[in-house]
Amino acid sequence: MAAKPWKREEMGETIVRSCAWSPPGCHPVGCGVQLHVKDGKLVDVEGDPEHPINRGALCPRCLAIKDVVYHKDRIYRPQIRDRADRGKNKWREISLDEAMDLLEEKTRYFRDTYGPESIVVFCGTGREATMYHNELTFMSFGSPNACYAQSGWSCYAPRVSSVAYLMGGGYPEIDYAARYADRYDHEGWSAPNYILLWGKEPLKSNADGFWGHSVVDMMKDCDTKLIVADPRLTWIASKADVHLQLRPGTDAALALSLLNVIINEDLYDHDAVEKWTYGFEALQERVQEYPPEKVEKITWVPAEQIYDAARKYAAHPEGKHSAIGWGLAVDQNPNGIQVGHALLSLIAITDNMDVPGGNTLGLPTKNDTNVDMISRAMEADTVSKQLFDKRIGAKEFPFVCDLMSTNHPDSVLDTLESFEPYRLRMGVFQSSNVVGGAISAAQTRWLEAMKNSFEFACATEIFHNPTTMAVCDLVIPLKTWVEHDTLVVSHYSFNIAFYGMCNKAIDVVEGYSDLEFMIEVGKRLFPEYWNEVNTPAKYFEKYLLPPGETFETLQQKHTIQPEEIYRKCEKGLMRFDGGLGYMSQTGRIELWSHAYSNYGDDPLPYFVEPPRSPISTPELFKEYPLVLTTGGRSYTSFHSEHRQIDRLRQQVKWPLLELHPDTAKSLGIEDGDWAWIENPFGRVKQKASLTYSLDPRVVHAHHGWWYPEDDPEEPSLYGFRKSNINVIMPHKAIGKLGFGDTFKCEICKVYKVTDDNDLDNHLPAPPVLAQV
Amino acid sequence: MANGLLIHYDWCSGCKSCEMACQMKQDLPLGQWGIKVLEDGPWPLDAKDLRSEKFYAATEDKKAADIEIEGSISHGKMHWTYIPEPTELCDLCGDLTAKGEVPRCVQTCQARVMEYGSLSELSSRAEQIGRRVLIYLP
Repeated sequence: MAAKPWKREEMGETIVRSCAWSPPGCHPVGCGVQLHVKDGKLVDVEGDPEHPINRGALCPRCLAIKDVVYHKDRIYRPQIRDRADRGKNKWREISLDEAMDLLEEKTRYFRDTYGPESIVVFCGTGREATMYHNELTFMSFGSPNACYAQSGWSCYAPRVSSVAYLMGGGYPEIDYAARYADRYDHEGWSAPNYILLWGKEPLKSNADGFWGHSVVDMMKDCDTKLIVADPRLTWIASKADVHLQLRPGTDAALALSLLNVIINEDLYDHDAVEKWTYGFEALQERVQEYPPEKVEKITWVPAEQIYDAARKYAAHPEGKHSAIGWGLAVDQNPNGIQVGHALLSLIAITDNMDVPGGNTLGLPTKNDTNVDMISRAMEADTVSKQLFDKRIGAKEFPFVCDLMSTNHPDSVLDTLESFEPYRLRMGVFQSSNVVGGAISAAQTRWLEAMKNSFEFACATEIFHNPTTMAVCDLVIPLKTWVEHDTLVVSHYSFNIAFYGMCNKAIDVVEGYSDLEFMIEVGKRLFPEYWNEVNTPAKYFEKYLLPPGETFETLQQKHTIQPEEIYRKCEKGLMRFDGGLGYMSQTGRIELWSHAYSNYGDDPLPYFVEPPRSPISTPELFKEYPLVLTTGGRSYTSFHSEHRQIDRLRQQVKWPLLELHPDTAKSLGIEDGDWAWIENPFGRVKQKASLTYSLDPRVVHAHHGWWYPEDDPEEPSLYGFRKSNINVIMPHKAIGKLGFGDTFKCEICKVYKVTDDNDLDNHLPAPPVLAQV
Repeated sequence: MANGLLIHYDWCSGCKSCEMACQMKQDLPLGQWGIKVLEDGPWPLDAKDLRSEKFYAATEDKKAADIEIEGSISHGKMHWTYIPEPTELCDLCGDLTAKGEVPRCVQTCQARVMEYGSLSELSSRAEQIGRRVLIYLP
């Protein structure tokens, strides 16, 4: 049966097929949807059964998109506010032209008066904006300061950078038959024997573009089995053969111990090691420091489980391979670069790299929007070399900033507070809720510093949030994914399952998509660069689409799956020069890393304790006697988003502090009680949820909570201080080379909220569950 | 011949997409559902895992810091099941099935554990699946 056209008329409705991305957020998963439009209004949303990846399925967030698009609190027209009214809900609507005139005027003023470096452009996580963040900063605003405000850049970048430094590119992802139209039925494809999920709950996160329920598909229908390394028992972990329930932050010790077993029991693939890795003997020597019996004491994972998991992962019954899905826990750890190194080493020495049912590998990318944008900007002469030398934190953290074109996020907070080496005077927030969102640490410090430092601030958003309310003077409406055309490329083009077309179905706001915003700002400030690529269609054709494809051809085809090619290193496809092997210094996957050594770190993976833990700070641990991990996802929100969508709040109403029933009992806390989570950096409260999914010594807190139903004005700012766990995450608890934070490996104490200890700050008001 | 839903609940991930798809399609008010996901678990299948002796020994004086901080408190298998339950408001999406489509919950299910058909069709499917499967005739 021929695929349905991207747009069709049926029973008085126009039905538009589309691939969803953002805003509101998700990763670039590009789930297929069918949007039913009647009289110019979106009336129904369903999954698209013809989409190769989600095949008709959809998660609650896309299903509820109608309630986002037409929400009463949506920003429908540009709004401005007097600087004196920051923190007050006193906005005045203006036209889009007026808004852009003002933005241009302010940009020119700060650029000409204080230098382009006085402008900093923020971008949040996951959304489409992330694709254009550096280019918006360099080519539209002409500033060298692009900031992703997560402490230690601790999302995806550490993993991508590990790959780039150790093997030259091509992000490894679980093989889920994504590049075949017939998916799991494809002739010659073989499913993973085991999937090892490491600090990842893909069903809820769909992280980086990986359709998480593929894991269920393969376990249910393809005999794939599961190993999970996670401090939490997630639902999918309850289906695992082995659940390695490690102490938060001890991932590197556990991964090194798996290597220990695989190497000492000779379970590795000698041919793969010989041909495609470098430094095996040194690694072999290093892993002797991590025998399972010793690592049990560090990680709390029984030694026999470590042996069991290692043997299962390394086995190749009937020639099958196994895959590792590495998650955010690799990034949110000051020791994370070593975790990533150890996991890549596991894949490499067991011959599970770039093979069917193992980890697939993307092709190395040219013109990448993260790593190549600085050279493109200098070529285009929008930012000079001299200006790039002023990039905040780049000299202090070259390991981070040589690859990521941004500045160093923690250094930006230092600069905002100190005005050193210079003052940041203008802030632009592109899909980033720095105050009250999900990525920044020490949020009240960001709040005060930004208020103090910025003479002008602008945001592009779909809703107001604590950041717009606290510091912005101008807000420009963003179009949701049903309101604009765009291209979805899974894994931000690092490992492309498919190119998908996101088709505009309706008009709602007087605003822009992220890409339109970049082009419109750019056309005003750098016309010579932007006149050539002055529409989204031209942009995609120039930079992102595969050769020979146009915007129109993609629209007709709707999705394009690139060819799956395994063992690319043997075919000269992993190097730009066409040579065999990889693009590292040695042409191999470096188990002993020249790059790490050159940047001043140990060339081999190693374990260090988190900065605060039962082992590293035993005295402090007496006062804060629980290990705290944070940031587990729910189906109903993308990080700090969707909090104002009543239908989604029906399903998850409050931020939950998960703790073991025994722990709760010892603290006099019952299920549903509000509980304080306190550490040396402050306290926030969440609702206790008693669960056997955790070790009694570990608690887990949800992240990114604020209350749109609460008072928007200062000092409340939608009540973000009450429950947002990021408020008490520490600033600059980063790794040696600048990556990592402690969001997943802190300590805390927990006690019940009572009238006596909550005098000035009462419980959040219940959300108004009104009919939308 | 009655039509109904089969749910291979062994693999229901609890994502609640069916709830949302149904509520949106029928335009039901908040708090009303055509299908609702019920949760049971996680709880340990081995009774000894219900009470950690190590933990209690250390927490008699309610100081969690005194728990032996080295070494494992391992647990065995856990029970954790989600069961989607069609309610009186389920109409099996008669308008969609009349057009040859499947009910919205079936199409939307992320874990692909729901099927629509006649009781006899569903019975033979249930037999084929063999375990942890339910058939509903709303």
